[in-house]
Amino acid sequence: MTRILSPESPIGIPKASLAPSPSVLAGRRIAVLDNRKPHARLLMETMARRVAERTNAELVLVTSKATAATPAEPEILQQLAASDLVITGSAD
Amino acid sequence: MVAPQQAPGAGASDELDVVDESPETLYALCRERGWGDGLPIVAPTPQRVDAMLAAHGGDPDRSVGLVPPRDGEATLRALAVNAVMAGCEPGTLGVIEAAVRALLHPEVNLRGVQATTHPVAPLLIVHGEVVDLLGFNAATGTFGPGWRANATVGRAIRFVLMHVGGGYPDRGDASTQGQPSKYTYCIAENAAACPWPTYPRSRGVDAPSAVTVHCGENPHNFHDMESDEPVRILTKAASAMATLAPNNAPISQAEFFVVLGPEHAATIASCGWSRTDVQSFLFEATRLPRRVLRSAFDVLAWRPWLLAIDDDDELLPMTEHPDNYRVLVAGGPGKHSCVVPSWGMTKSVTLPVEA
Repeated sequence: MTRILSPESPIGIPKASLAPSPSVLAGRRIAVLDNRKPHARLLMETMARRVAERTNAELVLVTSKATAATPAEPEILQQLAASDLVITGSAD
Repeated sequence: MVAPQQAPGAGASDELDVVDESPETLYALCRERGWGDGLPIVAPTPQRVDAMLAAHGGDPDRSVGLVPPRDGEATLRALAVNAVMAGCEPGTLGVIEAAVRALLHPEVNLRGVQATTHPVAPLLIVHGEVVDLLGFNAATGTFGPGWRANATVGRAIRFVLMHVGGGYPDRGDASTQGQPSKYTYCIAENAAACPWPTYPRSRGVDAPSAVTVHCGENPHNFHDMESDEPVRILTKAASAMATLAPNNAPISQAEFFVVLGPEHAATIASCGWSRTDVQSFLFEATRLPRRVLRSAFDVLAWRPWLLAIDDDDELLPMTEHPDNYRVLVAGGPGKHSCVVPSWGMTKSVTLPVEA
């Protein structure tokens, strides 16, 4: 037998986990974070409006990152924190 | 054959036993764990990893930082394991550590580099005394193949990005097509053939040895066999960069690395041109009409002054500042040079290699 070492080092910080989704959307605040990928805003805002209409939720914020290639700015995350549900993550 | 430790990709296991070091056994291990780049690996045995660490010194548990998106700890030990696996010689760990440290600088935006659909790979450029000390090839064929240091140190960087950072194809790394430089991408500056101050000195890094990382595309060759003055040579470089294809077109902060072959550099310098002159010329010569650029993109990450230009016939620069043309000399005899476009939302970093 030959002993070898794993090239995968331990993960340094625990991954953040998603907050539990609200079981009922009525009266909840929905936000959209446009990641600036083509058509992302149109797609996600349309989806958010439909969801809000069907559930008596409210679309309260549609905002964007500076670019698709960088994380959302802290002030944007601060704004999103005031909502109950965020829709984001459309890709190419 | 392999004593299972945990699920592939989960990480954190330290040691495992395999029946032998044969290529077949190691291929099977990599397939089972999702490790490696598809080429044969060297077994990272404790003895080899210890030799790698001993040649470098320092606390093996010291971490250079967390490598995204997996956020694995880039400890010296982890870097050494990956270096051994990639085939590196003991002694190269300092270069690898400096390169990883550079990649973790915020302006590199390594999370984006790792995760994007773009084919981007970090180009590692080695400078100074370590070039000869460790056997890096700065001359003929510096981009490869044929030199162990260039090939294996570049490969070790890829292994760190995969195994520590989680940049596995189709998992952490979403690159639509990939590119050959994702296997290895390491050159050395040919300081002896550079008619100007070395590249690190031009960036304010005054150290015996240094590394530069630039996250970009594969190199694009340009050749000029005939000219005895700079303008015709550099016009060809400008021609290679003034296109709609690279991310430099819609992202104005993006750099171009211009890697001049020694003969082109000598011709340019013999006419009295400095590195800054080359940058200024390229800034003026590498342009496209506003109409062409604006009609090609819906979204532009340009500085406000570029966005404010409204004359469709005006020729716009392909980057926002002459300093974004990063000029160095590498390679051997011949009339070839190359440009390396950027991923865009990233900036190069040059750091000293610690003794």
